[in-house]
Amino acid sequence: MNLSLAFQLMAQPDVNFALILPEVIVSIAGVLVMMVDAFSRRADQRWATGGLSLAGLLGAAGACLWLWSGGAGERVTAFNGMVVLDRLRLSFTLVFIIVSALTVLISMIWVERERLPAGEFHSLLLFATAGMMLMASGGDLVIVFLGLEVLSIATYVMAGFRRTDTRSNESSLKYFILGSFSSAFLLYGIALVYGGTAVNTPGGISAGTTNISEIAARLDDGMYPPLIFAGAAMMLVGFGFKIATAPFHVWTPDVYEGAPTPVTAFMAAGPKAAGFAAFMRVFLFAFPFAVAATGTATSAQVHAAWLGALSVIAILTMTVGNVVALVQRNVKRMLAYSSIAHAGYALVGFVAAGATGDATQQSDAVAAVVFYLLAYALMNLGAFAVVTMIARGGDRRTEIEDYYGIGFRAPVLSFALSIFLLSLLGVPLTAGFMGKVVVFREALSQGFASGNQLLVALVVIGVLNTAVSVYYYLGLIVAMFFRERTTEWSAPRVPASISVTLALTVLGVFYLGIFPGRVIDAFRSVQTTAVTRLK
Amino acid sequence: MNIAIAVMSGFAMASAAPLLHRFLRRFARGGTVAGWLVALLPLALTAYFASYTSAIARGETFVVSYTWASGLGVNLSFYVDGLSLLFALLISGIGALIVIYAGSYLAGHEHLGRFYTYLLMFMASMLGLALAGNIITLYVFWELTSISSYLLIGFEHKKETARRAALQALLVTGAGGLALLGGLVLLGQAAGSFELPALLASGDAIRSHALYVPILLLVLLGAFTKSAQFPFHFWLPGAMEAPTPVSAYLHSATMVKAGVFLLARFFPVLGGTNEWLYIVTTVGAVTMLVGGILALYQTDLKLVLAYSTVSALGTLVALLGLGTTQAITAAIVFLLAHALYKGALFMITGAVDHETGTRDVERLGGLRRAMPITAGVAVLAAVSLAGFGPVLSFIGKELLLEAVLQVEAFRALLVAVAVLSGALFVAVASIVSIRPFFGAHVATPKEAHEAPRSLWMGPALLALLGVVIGIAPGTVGSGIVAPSVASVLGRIEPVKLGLWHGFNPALALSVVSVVIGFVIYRGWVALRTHTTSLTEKIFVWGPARWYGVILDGVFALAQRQTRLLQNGYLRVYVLIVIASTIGLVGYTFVVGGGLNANFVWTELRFYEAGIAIIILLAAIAAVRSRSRLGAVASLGVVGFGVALIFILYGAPDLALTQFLIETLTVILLVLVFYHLPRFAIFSSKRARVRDLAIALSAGALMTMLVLVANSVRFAPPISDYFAERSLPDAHGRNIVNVILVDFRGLDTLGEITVLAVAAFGVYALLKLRPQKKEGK
Repeated sequence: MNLSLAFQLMAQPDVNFALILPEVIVSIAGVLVMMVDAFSRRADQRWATGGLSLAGLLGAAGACLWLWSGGAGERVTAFNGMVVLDRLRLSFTLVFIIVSALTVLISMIWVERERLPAGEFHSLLLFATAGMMLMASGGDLVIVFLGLEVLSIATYVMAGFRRTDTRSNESSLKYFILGSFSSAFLLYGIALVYGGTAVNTPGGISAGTTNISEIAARLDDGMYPPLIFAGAAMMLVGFGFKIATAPFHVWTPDVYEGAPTPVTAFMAAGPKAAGFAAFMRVFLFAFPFAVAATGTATSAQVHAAWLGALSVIAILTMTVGNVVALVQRNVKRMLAYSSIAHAGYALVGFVAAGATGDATQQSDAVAAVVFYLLAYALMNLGAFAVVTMIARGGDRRTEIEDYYGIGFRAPVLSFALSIFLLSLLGVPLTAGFMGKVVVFREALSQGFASGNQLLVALVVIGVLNTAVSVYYYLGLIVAMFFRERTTEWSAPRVPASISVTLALTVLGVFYLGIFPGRVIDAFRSVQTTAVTRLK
Repeated sequence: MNIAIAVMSGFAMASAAPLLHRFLRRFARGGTVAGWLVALLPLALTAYFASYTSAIARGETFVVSYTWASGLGVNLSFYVDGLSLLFALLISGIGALIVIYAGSYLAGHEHLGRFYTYLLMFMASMLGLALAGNIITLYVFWELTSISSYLLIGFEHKKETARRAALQALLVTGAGGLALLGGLVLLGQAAGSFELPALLASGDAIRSHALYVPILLLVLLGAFTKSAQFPFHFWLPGAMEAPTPVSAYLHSATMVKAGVFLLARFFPVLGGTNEWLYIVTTVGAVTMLVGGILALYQTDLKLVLAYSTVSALGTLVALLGLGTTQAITAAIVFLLAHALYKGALFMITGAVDHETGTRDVERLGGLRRAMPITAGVAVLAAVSLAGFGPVLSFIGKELLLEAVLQVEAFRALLVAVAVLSGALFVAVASIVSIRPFFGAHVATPKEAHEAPRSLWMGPALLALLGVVIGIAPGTVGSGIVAPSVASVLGRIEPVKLGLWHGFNPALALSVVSVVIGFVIYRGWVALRTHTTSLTEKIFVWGPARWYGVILDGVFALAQRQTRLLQNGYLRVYVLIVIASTIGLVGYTFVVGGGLNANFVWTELRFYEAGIAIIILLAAIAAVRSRSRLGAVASLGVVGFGVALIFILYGAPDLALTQFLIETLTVILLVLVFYHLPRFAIFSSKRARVRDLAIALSAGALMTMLVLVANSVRFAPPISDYFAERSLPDAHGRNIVNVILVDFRGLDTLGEITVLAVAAFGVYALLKLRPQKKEGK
């Protein structure tokens, strides 16, 4: 693209608000919530702001389905390629909406108990959701980065939302400092890729590009390949931090433990899924499987490099998450390590999607990852809803000892938590099992089709890790049902919002576990057309 | 009725049983009545499955299938053939007896209702496993049996040993189950279908498939862990922590045979190769011997029986490994016989424990006077265990010896193993029947009484069945054994069962093994006392120990990782992130040819060099400084140096911003430091050297990146365009103004808005403070 063309485009902006309707609705809802919070005189506004948030999310979900039904078969772009519409985006967006809606429900009891400003929390949550949606819909690295920052800044504040609690403060500060590092790496990576994609055209050397499909088209013609390599590596670090892969996971346990429980629930499900959305979008489409390229071409080398690095990272992530979870005595910390491990399992699907040049197979693998993350979001949010209830005021009771013997004294909470833990473990008939099956199946069939032994090895390591995880998930169930409690304990009253959350998540876990077909089929038709090589 | 309903009815009853129990407990003898009512379901199921026998004997098979996850090729389907019918009959038939037995054995236990739930859940899962027509369905039920077994072993959950044994069993069988899942998925991929009938028909394709060996190994791992084959046998004796009805049902008659079932089920698909022959037969033969020998070193009746079960399972596995018609027939007959007599013996042991308060052989003797019926049943079942007399297991043993005698390779070795383990069976049979019931009376913790009817009726029925079928094997042989053999072999073979095979080598070997067995029994006490210390030395490093070592090792690793890397210090986290980034980026950068770029060097001017040296010195001073103020001041110097460079390159506005920011930062830092304790160095010298190395390499990497980026020559800067277009397009001569209000007008608006919002925020914060003070 030469300069004059760029300026022509600049002169005729390609505006299409329908394409960003979900993002617009959520953002407007966020602003409205803030306004209601500021101008309402009522003391207890949590139902007003919460209801408004839910309505906004519902509207966004409607818009999303509308886009889905309206011929999402074609890959459409708008705003000069800044925003794309395909099923990768839409299916992820639905996951984000589900996560946020459940977080609103979980937060209801908590904001009341801690006397926290509900409106501020809900508007932050909505802005974070808008950020996540932008990450999934970005067709340009700039939009992806913007979405990431909108999400991150909201999450930093949410992590430190209990201002008077030093653990919450520490959590927020650690997240902020390490998150800033990773954002800086990501931005640096984007800049380097921009520099690396300058190409020689008849009209002189062109500028670089941050458009994802444009990057893919220019990989082999880029004048400065080393910059692309370094840039891709930097972006890998940035995204790796967001989805908490080893060795960039070190922040996770401390932050998850210190943050208020509903926020932890959100962080483990939402931003992680958003990280996956952006990570997959960028690496699958900007540095795609080079079908025609020879082994020495930059595109082939970059692809091989990131795929190899990601495989190693997946192995490390699964292993570290599961092994270290074994010795945790704090439930939130244990679930933090478990979330690291689950990111590792999902990465296996990501690697499978990256290892193929076939569009159908790739979209199947992407669908498997989305399904996995949806399943994870449901069981994880459900588990944290129970943890919120058990923790009670001040978020104090989160040690495994606090769960001793509560099994038959709080049967609803304990049975629900057991179902979520079994699903996290991957017991048949639950969502977690189906998630593992679809992800590992994609990896295996990919591995056989291409003779890629690494993928088979990844699945074997994943399965071994699942065996390790039996220990700590069951440990908590045993603590609840089979251990004796020495101290006095009375079951917490389960409010309506938590009951609804638990009912929805339990149903979801079983629905996805027993009838996964429809959901997977819906995600499967993810439109991920191979990038046409633009010249 | 339909097979799917038959399987699922168990789960329905499992949820209803506790309510039933709770309701009936209020009445006199209500608990026993509840047990009988619950037992009606397995009884009905037995009758239902029995109705299939004639059709199955004619060679028919039945398939019921429901779509489950269409996109994955997973269906909820059930498949009835000879093999699955045999298992279904065993599971539901023995299940009914066990439920009745348990109602009496655990009478008055506070959680009896829960026990029924677990037991029925297990029964339904096991039926699902045996009747599964889709291998993913099969796996689902396989895991459900592991989980219900876990719940049943840990039923007495207040006991630490029970909890540990339950977990051990679950970890071993669960890990095996996952391996099995891997094998099944590969198998489905290789065959192109997860449906059992299609798989059974594609044996040749699988055996010649490139992935045959991995598939085989994974499936075998699943089968061996579940069926307690050496070296995974150790969980089974541990599982004896479960209440005795559970041991009788799960850990001898049914669940542990799931692995054997799996081998038989997949024999038409995976069997018949050399890999199969050698691996399966060897593992089976070793398990036979190890189980038999270990049984001799126990005095707890349940443990004696548990190890002899391990040995029996080894026998079954070895027979399936051999895979000849003779061997398969022997395996099916032996499987049926073993389920009958071993279930009976466990229940007898439970009755003895229940009535005397101990199961230690050393503390039992002469019980035949106090418990004549129990003693009679025990002897009857023990004859079956010994496999010598007019019993079904005798037929099985003859078939086994004949099968072994037909083997070509390693015949002598296999015959020796078979005879020796047969002898050990005889010895074990004597230990569990002669020792406790005959000889001089020994005082027991509780005064011994005859067991109630519900405790001896079940075992008596099973033991009698063993005799009856042994004497008249015709119907069972043609109706159940022959179809099972046919479905394992994949072809119909005539099966003729009879006690008397004539005077042949097998009979001679049988007699030899009985003689050796009695000799071992006579010298049992002496053998145990003299060699226990030796075997203990050997088995210190047995598989159970390795299990412990691995478990502890994983925990130690996790602890160490937490101490080293997850210690809560932000500086360590930053260190890890930066070090990993340097590694990743540096590696790809160098591999990508970053070092070969042509760097562009412009001529260095004097001022630049001077400023650069000042910046460097200040940076070093900032790190070395012993006071906070000094460090901050040095950092300030670095900032000002950078600003000076901006000025040198003609960017005064940028320089001005930098000056302002630097000044502000220094002031802020000084303000904050005022509240902080004195400067101190906490890190060791080694830590500082490490930090220095990482800092230097991070700096070097960034420098390289800057140098390479600098060598990129871009298209003409965009400023030319603005300079060119500002007058004709926007009618302005001041280019900066035109950019701000015209070309980038929207950006400017956005910035102004942000500033305004920030100002509001500051105003709000300022207003907030005095209010707070008033509040106080």
